[in-house]
Amino acid sequence: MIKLKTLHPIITFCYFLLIISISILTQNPIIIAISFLSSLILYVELKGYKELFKNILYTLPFILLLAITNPLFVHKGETILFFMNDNPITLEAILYGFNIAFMITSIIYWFASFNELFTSDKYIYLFGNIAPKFSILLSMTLRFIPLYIKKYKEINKAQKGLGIYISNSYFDRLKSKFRVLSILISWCLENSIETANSMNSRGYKLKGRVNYSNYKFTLSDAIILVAIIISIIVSIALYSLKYFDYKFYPIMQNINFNSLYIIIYVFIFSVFNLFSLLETKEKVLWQCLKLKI
Amino acid sequence: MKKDFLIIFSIIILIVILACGVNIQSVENYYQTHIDEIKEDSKTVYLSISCKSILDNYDNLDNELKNEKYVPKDGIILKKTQFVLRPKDTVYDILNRVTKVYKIHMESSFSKKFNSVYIEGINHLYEFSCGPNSGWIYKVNNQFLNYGCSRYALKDKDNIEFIYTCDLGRDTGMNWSELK
Repeated sequence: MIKLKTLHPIITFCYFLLIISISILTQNPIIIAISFLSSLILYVELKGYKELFKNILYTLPFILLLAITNPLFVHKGETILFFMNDNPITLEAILYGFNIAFMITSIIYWFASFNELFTSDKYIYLFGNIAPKFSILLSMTLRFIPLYIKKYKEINKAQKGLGIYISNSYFDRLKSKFRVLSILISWCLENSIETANSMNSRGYKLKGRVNYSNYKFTLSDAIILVAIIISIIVSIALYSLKYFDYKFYPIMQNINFNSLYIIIYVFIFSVFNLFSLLETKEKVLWQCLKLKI
Repeated sequence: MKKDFLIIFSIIILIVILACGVNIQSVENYYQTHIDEIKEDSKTVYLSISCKSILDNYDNLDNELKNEKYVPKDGIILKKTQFVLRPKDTVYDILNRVTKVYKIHMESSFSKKFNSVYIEGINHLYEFSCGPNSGWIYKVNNQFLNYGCSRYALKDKDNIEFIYTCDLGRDTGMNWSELK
């Protein structure tokens, strides 16, 4: 976490751009599996196992939901399992649903890691010259999520003290939670107006605003950037040669395991785990150095 | 607590009502459709399904469909066969029954805009599988109709042909301005 946060912002930005584009553009189930696992690994590196276990409870039903909606609407494949309302529910449609579900979940986890690494000052450094208004907008929008979570907890505690959770019935307590949510929303709207007023009075509207940031481009940054650029070129080549494609309908394509494909999969695995490898290397190095003291 | 039970009960009733509307059949059950025997005095129609135009545009076909199973060598999925016409049958009813009996894959959906059934695909050949102008059209008695296939009521001795077109109907001789 220490090393990744001291990287130059351009490198983090380019890396996540590459990773997310590969995840979106591919249909290959092996690449999507690699992307999913790597996103989980990076998430655990940055935030720890506890956070992951808290999130998994919400992620698994989400995956199931996405996977089940596909066969209900698409009836294309060849192996029919059963007929529902005169429409065939096919195995290929279910597997395609799982494919898409894992892809979307992996992109969510990549974005979670990205949010952890790419703080608001990095946004402003990168986009401050090109698009100052956009960078301020983006950094403010991203600040809102942890802020609203904190505020929800505060409001919840206050309302608990006032006694809205007394009732024995589960549905009454559910209704009270919705009330807390509506209080949160009204607070959010008022807060945004207050923030706008305060920023206005502190002179954010005036011209000639400059940012100070001390991001140096070091040698290790250069090496990582070269690795990322090589990965971008190779990925573009692979995409145009159609190695990322995979057809599910009418029957599933054969997954090749000859040597060329294995090299490609190993390459993709190393690209996706680049940051986690950097992080693990630093941690291992630190443990070794600690033992020497 | 009472309120809990009431709400849970009403949710269960809702789910049961929804589940009754869903009709789940196993594969063998679905294919057990009965075509009537052709007798002396029964009304009959002829049905044929062909995808000959794909053979002319084989390069445009999606890669995964370039297979004998989906595009037969002569382009005929079902040759002209005689079937009994039940009263008030539409073109879609005949196609549905025939594809069930002959185990040909067929997917269709109801379109509210045209108030008719739209044939999305037969034998895994869907619209746009062979270029952006491709899809299924049908003729009755060698004439293209301007109705969806569940809106035309059939008469005795009608000849139905389902043809796959790769050019919005132009390669099969359909003229959009001359439709009935």
